[in-house]
Amino acid sequence: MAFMFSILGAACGGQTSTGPSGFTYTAGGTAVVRTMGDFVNTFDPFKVPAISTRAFLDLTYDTLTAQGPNGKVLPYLATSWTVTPTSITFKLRNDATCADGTPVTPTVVKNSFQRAIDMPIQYARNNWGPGPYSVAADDAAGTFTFTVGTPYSDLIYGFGLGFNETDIICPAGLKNPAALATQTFGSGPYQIVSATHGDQVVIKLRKDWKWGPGGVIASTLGLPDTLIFKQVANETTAANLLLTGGLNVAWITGTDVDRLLADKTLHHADVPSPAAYVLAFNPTPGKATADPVVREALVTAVDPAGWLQGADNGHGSIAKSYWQPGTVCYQDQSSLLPKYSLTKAQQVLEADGYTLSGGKMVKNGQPLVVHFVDTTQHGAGPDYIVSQWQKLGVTVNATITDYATYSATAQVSGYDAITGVPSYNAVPPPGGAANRLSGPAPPKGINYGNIQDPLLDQEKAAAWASANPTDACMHWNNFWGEILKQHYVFPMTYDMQYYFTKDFVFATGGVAPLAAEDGLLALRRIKS
Amino acid sequence: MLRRLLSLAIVLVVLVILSFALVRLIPGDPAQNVLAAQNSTPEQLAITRHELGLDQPLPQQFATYVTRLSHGDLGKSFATGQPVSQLVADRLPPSAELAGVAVLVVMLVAVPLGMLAAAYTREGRHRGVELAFTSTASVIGGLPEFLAATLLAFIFAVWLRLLPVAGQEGLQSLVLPVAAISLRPVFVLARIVRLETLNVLALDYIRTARGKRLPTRTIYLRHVLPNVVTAALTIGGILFAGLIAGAVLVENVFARLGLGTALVSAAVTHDYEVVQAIVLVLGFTVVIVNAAVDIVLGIIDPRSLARSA
Repeated sequence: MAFMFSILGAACGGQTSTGPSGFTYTAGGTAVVRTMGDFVNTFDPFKVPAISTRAFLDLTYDTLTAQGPNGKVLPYLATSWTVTPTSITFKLRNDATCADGTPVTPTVVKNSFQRAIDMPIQYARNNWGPGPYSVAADDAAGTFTFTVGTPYSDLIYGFGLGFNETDIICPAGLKNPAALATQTFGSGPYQIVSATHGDQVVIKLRKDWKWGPGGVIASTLGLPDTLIFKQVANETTAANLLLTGGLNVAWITGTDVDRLLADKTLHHADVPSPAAYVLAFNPTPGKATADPVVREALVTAVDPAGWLQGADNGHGSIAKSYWQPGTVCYQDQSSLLPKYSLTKAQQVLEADGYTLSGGKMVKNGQPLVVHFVDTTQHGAGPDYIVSQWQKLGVTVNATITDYATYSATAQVSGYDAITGVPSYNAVPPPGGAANRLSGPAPPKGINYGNIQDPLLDQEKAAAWASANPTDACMHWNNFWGEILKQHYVFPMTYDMQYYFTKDFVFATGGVAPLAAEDGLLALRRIKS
Repeated sequence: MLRRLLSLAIVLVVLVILSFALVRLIPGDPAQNVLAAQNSTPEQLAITRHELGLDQPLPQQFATYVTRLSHGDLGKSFATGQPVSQLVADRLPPSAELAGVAVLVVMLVAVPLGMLAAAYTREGRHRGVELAFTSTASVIGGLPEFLAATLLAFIFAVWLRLLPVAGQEGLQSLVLPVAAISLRPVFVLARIVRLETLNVLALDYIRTARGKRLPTRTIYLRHVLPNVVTAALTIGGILFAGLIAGAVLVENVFARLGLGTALVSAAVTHDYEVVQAIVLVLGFTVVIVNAAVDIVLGIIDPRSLARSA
């Protein structure tokens, strides 16, 4: 959600809508990249969830796959793979070496994943399905096999999207786990030179690294020799530093975006959010929003264009589905979304037995009351929604608050309606977010809205058990179709994220151009 | 002296209790922040809460906190795992430098400015200047530090490119942050100094001094200044607390590695140990500075001791 974007760093998004052209690349030199938070006190990749740390740490480790535009899976240490509903066999390249010269063999990969499976907290578990998991290596054949006990068709997306346990740790690190806290033991493109809390982390390119995704190698023209991750928490300060040359790469949000877009010395990669900003409802019995007709009226009264202007100063576009066009399994589902009309919204409620009395919608003598929760990080967007619902005659108890309160309220289902966008450090797999909209509610699960719909459970299970991607996509589209038909969630807009660069650009066609993690492999210095 | 020490001890005890309690009033779950993942499972959250000691009852958490504090242990940052005492030791010098220079600037600018304004506008002279001074002082005296910082950065760093936007390399990088936090107290204090000077100038002994044809410089430096400094010091002690608060915000605008940036970052991520420690250090500093001001006042103006007795 917005919190992840604003506090933890610039690592969200998925596909680019604009690409650089006509630039001449030159020797990489040093790029100063903005990071928003401090790094954590361990460099053990399996214990680091903080994006501000992963931003540089992931560049010291390789993964089996990488993320291309629109969430496409790119070969990395794995050159190809064979997928079954319960396993993936990766064919590995044979020329990769750890920083200490040890070859990265299938057994090395297996041992790294075995440690991941044995970790008490498995951050990647959501991306490997319910499990249980097992691993096998065949050094002679050059293959590594990951097997899951429960069919999981999204499994291929769980090996290179920047999730914690996907980094391959070299044997020296596995032999001495305590040392993982202070040193890195990877085969990745960069190595840490220095790290100062609260200030910066410096990493340097390995000259012998020649197995990157999308053909990127150490000698690729324009790839920075040195990356400095500079901590700058304040948006305006980061924008000022970009303008004056103190930063080369920064993800910027809010009111500073317009003045940076207007500056001709800067370049920008415009990355739409992988999923839409949504209006989500809590259909728990007893709540006003348990009634699908009420939900339909509430979404019909909201014009996504009004939200876009209020929440994002008009930056972005109107959603046609829960997901961004171009993502895996994407289907235009705009026909399932109600067209904005306050009159129609009123008629929907009146057909359900509500009457307008003294400007308030009333049924059986009871006013229609909705508890709406949102965060001040969404600008004037929440005020717009409140005002639309008030025009409809709904009594709105609005809690427009700081992100922490908003998040805490969401996690205990303490709302009738709430806005939000799923946060991912990459484009999620097709089933991403499915567990947040179906299955067990807190505390047993993460279905915060307590949406209990047998059709959703059925389609989700069928999608994950599908043997081929086409069947899986069909079930996912049925799943999202049901979400929209029942108005559990109303996708409003696609947020636009701006990655600004000075003296550098993000190359297109290879890894997704994100201002963190593997995305920085797309960074190229340009001749000014 | 004993009474002063006793009241100081009470203030510190209250500070310890408040620093512990206030941070826990911030809504949100520190474990969620540590995991940094929205899809964290309840099991992951439970393990993390246990590791952070947040599954203990509040009184027990407080007892642990006080016990550790009594041994000089400020704990470890939830977010980074860094020892908090190390963090405070690293971040205190830049903040002290900023606050120290700012205090100096406030005193060196506000006192002469206020006295000059008083001398120029005494006995109803130069009404226009008086109006200009009081209105300028009112406007700038009401300018929040973060706004002053943003404006100064935009004008002098982005537009004119005369000074660095951020950082703490060299004296140049200190100019804008010091200006941003000093601007308001300078004008607040200058207004008070002007009024105090006008009061002193109206006293009989000043008239006598003038009657004796003493040089103006002697009148102002030997007879007015000591009286004005007493008032300036008294107000300065109070302004210092505001200056500390301003420094917290300004450090963030100028990306300085001080206690302020650490505090804001820790508050946002619910890093209890860091917030507690920094609030304690800043609170302690304010208490000590005010106690020091009282002592200095007692020395240069023994009447103040009599008044507070």
